[in-house]
Amino acid sequence: MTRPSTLHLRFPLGQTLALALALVVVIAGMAEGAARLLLDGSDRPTAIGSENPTLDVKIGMLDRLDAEGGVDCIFLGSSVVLNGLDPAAFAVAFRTQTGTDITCYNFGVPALTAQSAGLLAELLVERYEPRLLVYGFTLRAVGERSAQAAEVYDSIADTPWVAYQRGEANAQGWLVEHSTLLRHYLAYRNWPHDDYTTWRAQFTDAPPDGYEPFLVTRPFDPATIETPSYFRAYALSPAELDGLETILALSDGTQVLLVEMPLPLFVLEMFDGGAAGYDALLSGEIGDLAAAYDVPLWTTSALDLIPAVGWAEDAHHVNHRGAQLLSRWLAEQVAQAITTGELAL
Amino acid sequence: MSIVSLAFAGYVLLVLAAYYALPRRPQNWLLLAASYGFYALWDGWLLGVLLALTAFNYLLAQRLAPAPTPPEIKGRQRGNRRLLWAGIGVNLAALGCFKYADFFAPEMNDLLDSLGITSSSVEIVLPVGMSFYVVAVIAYLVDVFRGQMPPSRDPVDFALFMAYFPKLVAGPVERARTFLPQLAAQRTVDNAALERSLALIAFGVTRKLVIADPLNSMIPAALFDDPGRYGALELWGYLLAYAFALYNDFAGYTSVVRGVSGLFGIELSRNFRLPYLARSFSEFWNRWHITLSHWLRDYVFYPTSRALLRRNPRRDNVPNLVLPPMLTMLASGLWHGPGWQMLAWGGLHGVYLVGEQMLALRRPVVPPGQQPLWRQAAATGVVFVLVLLAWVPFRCELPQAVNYWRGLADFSSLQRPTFRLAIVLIPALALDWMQRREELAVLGWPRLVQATLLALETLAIFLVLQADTGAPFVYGGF
Repeated sequence: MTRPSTLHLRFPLGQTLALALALVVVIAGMAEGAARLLLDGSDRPTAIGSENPTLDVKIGMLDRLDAEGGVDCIFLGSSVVLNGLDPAAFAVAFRTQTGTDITCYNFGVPALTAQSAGLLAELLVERYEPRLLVYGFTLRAVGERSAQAAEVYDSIADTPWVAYQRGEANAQGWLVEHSTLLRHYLAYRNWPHDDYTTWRAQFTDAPPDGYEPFLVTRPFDPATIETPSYFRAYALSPAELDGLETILALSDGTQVLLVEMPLPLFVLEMFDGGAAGYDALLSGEIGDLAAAYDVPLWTTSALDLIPAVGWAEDAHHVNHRGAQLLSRWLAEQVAQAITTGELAL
Repeated sequence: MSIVSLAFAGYVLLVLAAYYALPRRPQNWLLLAASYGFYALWDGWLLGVLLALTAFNYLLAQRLAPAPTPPEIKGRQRGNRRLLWAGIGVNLAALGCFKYADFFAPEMNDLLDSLGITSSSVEIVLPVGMSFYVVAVIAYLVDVFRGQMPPSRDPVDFALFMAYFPKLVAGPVERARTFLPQLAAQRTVDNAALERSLALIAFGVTRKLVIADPLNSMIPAALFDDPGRYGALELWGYLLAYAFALYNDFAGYTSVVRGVSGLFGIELSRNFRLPYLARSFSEFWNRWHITLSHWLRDYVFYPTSRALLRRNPRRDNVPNLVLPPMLTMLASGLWHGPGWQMLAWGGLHGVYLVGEQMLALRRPVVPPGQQPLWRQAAATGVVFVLVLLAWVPFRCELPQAVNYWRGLADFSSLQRPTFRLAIVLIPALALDWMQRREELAVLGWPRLVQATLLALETLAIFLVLQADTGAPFVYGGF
């Protein structure tokens, strides 16, 4: 006698599911074909579906720049770069010095530390093959990570497209890389959110060269600036130094340049050991690391490049005026370094 | 573990694989183990509450059943009635402790402080699904007491009735007299059952992910906290969105769990029948959260009504008209949560029902289906708008609810809600249209149409998921 069983299925089974699956492929294929016909080459924003909004916007912008003739140089870093280096001002000054045009893109991502920058640098160099990669940083980028910086790292590392670019197979990353339709849809994907209009504006209002200036700013008041906790008990972070080393290691095929982004003297004085302590940290382990990879490290704080009116009110970022000064200075230094052979572009 | 997650799908597949390989009795053991495992994953130590209530109710029911001979029946019934009330009391006290204690926590803390007792703040977490399994087990005790079913002699089956994982988190509120016989019988899953189950899952996932979550996500975060910031058109538009989000969230949940349960060969009750097409409030409550509504009808409304009619058999006697619906709907409000807002929601529905009964006294009652079409449409419109208004206190605190109601009549600002609501509301209506006559009429449609629908659902889910609108099921919180 056989035991009564629960399953009483007759075959064939699942034809509707199989047909539906086939239809998914057909419908998606047709939509993708239409998207390629209509959208390839258009200046509509695209996205990669990252939780990091800046990364989500900037890859699309860089892709567009790349399609229009390529990018010569990328400024990578945190908000100090995002607000501090103006590719247009840099290009003008560079042309004045060398007589040649240069196309730069500002890839500043708020709260980006060296470890996160390392992730991105590899990807950017491989994908866009810039001749020059400028990594702008303050000591904050290589110190112990804040919770916000850790979130930024996770938001970048967990982006399927980033993982796919770094060689990790995943369906979402593959689809984003190969589907025009999906890349365009992703720039609209948050339509079911109540703050969609604000979110979407990030794409429509994104500056083409990535630079986001502090346009209106009050002069800072040193009395109101709190000493950030990371300054008082500062220590270099091995994980962040590993990230920095990842960037430096790219100097094999691309000219890499480390630039210390300026901070006002009174902020440096908040460090243990004051400005001298800050300099010692910078020129010590970090300087040694740069030297080991034969990458120039240019410091700026001691140069007193930025006048009081060039700082944003938080005194940790330069404003638009300061950014113009800094970008021009950087372009002149790069031009001069090319002449002297310090930089090979 | 959300029931619309890959983790849950994996869990179900794992349990199914073992389930199909076992004979009936061990299948029940497996389901019980899987249910406790699921609950432990969800709510850790609170599994103890479920186990304690299971043991208590199992043992109590053995002593509740009426004895067979007439003299004994009389004697036992008195004893049983006390036991029944004790049983109901214990179950309600347990629910009250967890569900309503938080409501009184500030007063409790103040009292402890005033007595000079330093205590960490009182905070009690409601065990997931407790509101659902407590009402289900109360129905079981009453049914056993009334002799409508024998007490379950099988502790495993009874424990499974309490803990069955597809219905544990948010129902449906199953009756033991329909559920337990299914556990005692050999289950069968054939092609038709499989198709039905998968269709229910597909409908449910679509309702939750493509309709409910995006609608919820489009409602401005401050809408219910500060309704004064919005114009009347926005308030109406987003209230409509909330109503459809709530409906699709819960109907989607029920559809998924019924589908999952169908894969085990166990049928769970339907909870929704196009509620917003109701032409009267009594019809609405036969279409919305049907299993709870019927529970309230059978164990609150009818007993109250019968008790009042015994005192005064006149239908138009005011207490007979007012008390049963009011008590029933206030109980419904309390079941949903402590606080004045839920009482206001329940009270409003009570008033609607009383009003409807009073109107029915003044003219002969014509069943809605036999009324002219225009009248049915008008009735649907009126019922829908009044139900919408009642959702306001369901969603926000009373002072804000009053502001919200005021705002609905203030057309000084003509700011519109986002047109993107329509992207979701139109498919929501289409889904209801597909289910208007029969829940799974789609299974009778040509295969190509079914497959096209499924393909479109799959693509829609994929696209909506890119937005990360995921939210827990609303009724998971009750």
